[in-house]
Amino acid sequence: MQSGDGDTLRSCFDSLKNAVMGCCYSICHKENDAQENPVNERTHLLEVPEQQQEAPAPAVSATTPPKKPDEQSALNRILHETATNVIDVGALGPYALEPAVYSERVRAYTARLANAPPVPVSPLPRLLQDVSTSERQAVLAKPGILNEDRDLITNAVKRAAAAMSELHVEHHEELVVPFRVP
Amino acid sequence: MVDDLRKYLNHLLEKVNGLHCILITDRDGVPLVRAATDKAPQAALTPNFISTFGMATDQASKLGLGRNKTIISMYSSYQVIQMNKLPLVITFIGSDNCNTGHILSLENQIEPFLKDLATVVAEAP
Repeated sequence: MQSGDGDTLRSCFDSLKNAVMGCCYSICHKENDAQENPVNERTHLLEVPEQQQEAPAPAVSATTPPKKPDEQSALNRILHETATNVIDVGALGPYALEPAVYSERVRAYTARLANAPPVPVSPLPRLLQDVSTSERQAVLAKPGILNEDRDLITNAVKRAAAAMSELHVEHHEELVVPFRVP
Repeated sequence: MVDDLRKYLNHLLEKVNGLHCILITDRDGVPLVRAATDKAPQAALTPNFISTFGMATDQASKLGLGRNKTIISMYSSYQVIQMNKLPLVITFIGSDNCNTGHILSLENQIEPFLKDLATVVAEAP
């Protein structure tokens, strides 16, 4: 910021100097006009009108202060975006908190967790669940499966196995088909 | 709250064969809840080790594939799975032959408790 202010001050000073020199020159020039000596050591090599020569300096000094913050903010924005997007491999090393900060934070967390309301922990869903001893005994004490049901299941399974064994694939076309490659 | 949660995490720990530790910390590795067995390597429980994930997940999110959610690190004897639940970080440490998919599936079972824990971290100085 200080260098920016210094630049602004310097440009203002330059423009003031130009204006003063321009006045002096115009006074001298008027004197010279009387002598009708158009070419001398004070003559400009490039013929630029004085108004045009002087005009840009104040214009620049007038427009520079509003432009600078814009440029500065744009540059800052670009810098920030670049810093955000850069993958900083060097920063990936381990870092540790100060022991005092660490212990203070542990203390704060412990205190806050102690004051927090208890969490309702729902039982996890299970595919198989344990049953109580009485239920287990009741289930085991029940009469077994009836003989008729057992025969029914056995016959059904036998018939299903027989049906599966009779399954055949009948092919009507050649299994290997030559491609029509010349 | 902490005791209930610790019991719950211990219960999860028993369910997965070869899982040694479940750790919920902030991004600097300061622990909030911890459930660990004797087999958990002490070096992996220190804030130095865990805080590396906070940096790594930030940088990995810049690779153009969206936000990084989980980093799985396989070592010769251990595997470390760290989940980005910022401001919280969940760290699972298991043996190298532990079922990684089983560990990842625990995320859904821990997720409901993270909201309360996140407020604890957010409110702390």
